[in-house]
Amino acid sequence: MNIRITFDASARDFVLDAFGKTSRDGFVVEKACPGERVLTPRGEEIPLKEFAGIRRGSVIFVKSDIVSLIEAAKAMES
Amino acid sequence: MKNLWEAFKAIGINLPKLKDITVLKFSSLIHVDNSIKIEGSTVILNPERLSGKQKRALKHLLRAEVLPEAGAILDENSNPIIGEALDVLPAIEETAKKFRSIIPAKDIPLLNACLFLRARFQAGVSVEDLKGQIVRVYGARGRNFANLCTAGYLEEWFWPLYEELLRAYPDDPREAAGKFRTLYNSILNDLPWTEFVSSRASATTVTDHIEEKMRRNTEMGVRYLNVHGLGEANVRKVLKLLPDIQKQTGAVVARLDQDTTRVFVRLEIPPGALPE
Repeated sequence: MNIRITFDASARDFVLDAFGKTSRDGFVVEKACPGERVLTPRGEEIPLKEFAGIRRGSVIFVKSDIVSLIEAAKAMES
Repeated sequence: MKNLWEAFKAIGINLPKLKDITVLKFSSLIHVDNSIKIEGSTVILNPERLSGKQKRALKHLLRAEVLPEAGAILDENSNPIIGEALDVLPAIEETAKKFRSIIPAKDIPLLNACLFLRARFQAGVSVEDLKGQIVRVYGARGRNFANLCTAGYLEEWFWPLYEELLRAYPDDPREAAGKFRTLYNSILNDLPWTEFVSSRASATTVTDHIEEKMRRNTEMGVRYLNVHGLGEANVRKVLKLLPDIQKQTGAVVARLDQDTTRVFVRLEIPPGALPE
């Protein structure tokens, strides 16, 4: 059985930091360039409250909507 | 995943090798002397309890091994949906793989999400919130796709259409695929031959909308409209509005299928009964 890797709100900053990101003005941004907001594959900015995690496919940041979560589940399956 | 446990061990983090562990969770909310705690089938790791060197090593491990191995690192609030999705993905995949090569690439995540939505609907679980999320991402096109998918149009209408086009262009499958996409986009954007009754639309709006579509279709030589109601409230609404719709459009009910959660009505305009 595969192990599912999760985090809660208290470890969100740690996870973001591991991938060179942080938050500013309520959005996920590049740690090295905080003025640059991180985008989803659809080109959307990611409000921190909608940040749902990271998926494989190089490194893709995931929002908490159903379309993004199904793609994340597919990344976990493959 | 065994190798992953070894990778943790290599940076001084000894995760318990228990058979029934299914989740590794990062949380700073555990208050124990060491950095690891087990709760049921979850092993919790508190990164704040690690040394600076271990934290740096763990961050590297997340990038280099955990994400590639696990496929995703997700907020625990996503767990219920992710769990459901993992359960139904094999069934979804059967349908998705047929359509993946013939619909635009940008619609493939939409296709997957709508097939998940349909699986939920068929299991009798509410889908309104999830459909709202699809609409927020894809707009009216997303709503139309979700409705068409839930009502079975993918297999019963789009796929036969594609097969028909393949037969029409036996030596040129690219031409068939191109013509399919043109029709697909038109149907998805406008739903010309179909009306999905929304619980939020007023009775007048629904009736006017159906009348307008039937008038437009008749002008194009199409003398029918399929009306769907998905969900108990919409079933009641369609059945209540049907007499008024018939009176205003001159249409007759050529087919009516219903149960408590869905209703399908095929309205047809008899020759000589053109709407004004």
